Amino acid sequence: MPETDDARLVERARCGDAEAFDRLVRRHLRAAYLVALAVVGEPADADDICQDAFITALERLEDCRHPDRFSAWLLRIVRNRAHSHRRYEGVRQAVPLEEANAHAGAAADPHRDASRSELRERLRAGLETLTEIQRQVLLLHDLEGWRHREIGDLLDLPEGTVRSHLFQARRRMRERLGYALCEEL
Amino acid sequence: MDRERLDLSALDPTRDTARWERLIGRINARASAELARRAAAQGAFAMVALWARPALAAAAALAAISAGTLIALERTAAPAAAIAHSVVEALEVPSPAAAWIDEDRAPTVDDLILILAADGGER
Repeated sequence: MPETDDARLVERARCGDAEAFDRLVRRHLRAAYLVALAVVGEPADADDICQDAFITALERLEDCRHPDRFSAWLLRIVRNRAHSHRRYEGVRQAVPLEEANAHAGAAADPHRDASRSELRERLRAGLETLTEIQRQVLLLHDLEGWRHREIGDLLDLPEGTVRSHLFQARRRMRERLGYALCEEL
Repeated sequence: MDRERLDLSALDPTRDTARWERLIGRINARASAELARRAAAQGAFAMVALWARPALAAAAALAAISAGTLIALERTAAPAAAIAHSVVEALEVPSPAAAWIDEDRAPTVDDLILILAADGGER
């Protein structure tokens, strides 16, 4: 099926086209998940936030004034919901992330691919040493492949500030995790 | 290639395909009610749009027929003054009264005295 731009998919979803909505979900869910994860730190919470954010977005599609920029609009909803969730779940946040991640990792993947699971836990622990903005910048840039300008638009930050956050985030992650993070070229 | 880029692929949620598809499935399931509502609303709108065109065409045709009829009546109708004159004659209205009816004006006091005098004279 040919690639369809967001504006057209949004228009079709407004008319109740389930296939168009599914394509929007598949196209933007990963970025939404990473933004949510950067704010709340817990994969299961990030899942819930993404679900709520997509449903909210669908219910408010008429408010999306620039359907060609659906992604930025959606991710703002994700960020807002993630922040609300974090405030609401303040007590749960008191649990050390390493401990929570250990439980989550054990439940999700008890025996298979132990080294990857271990790396994942180390990465999560490393991310927890960063600020929320640094986590969002790092995940969106190095995992989702966004450009500095796109991240700046989302976070309302100048491009230079985004570069600075990215530099700081990478440095702290390398300090904490060492060579394991270097991409194989 | 950005040589500084960190390898964060272990955090990529799409690697666990089954979990990822379950998440997408849950979102789509929750969205189904709203999508159905939107589709139904769109159907009702389409129905209105379907009827709107013939209804508008019928209204336009009626307006054209009415306008034609009014224009034709305007052309064939006798002048109002001629009709008034005929009525005055048919009712045998006294001539002073006929004068101000013909001139399409309210009677003055003199007109009334004149018409009363004429009426008295006839008796």
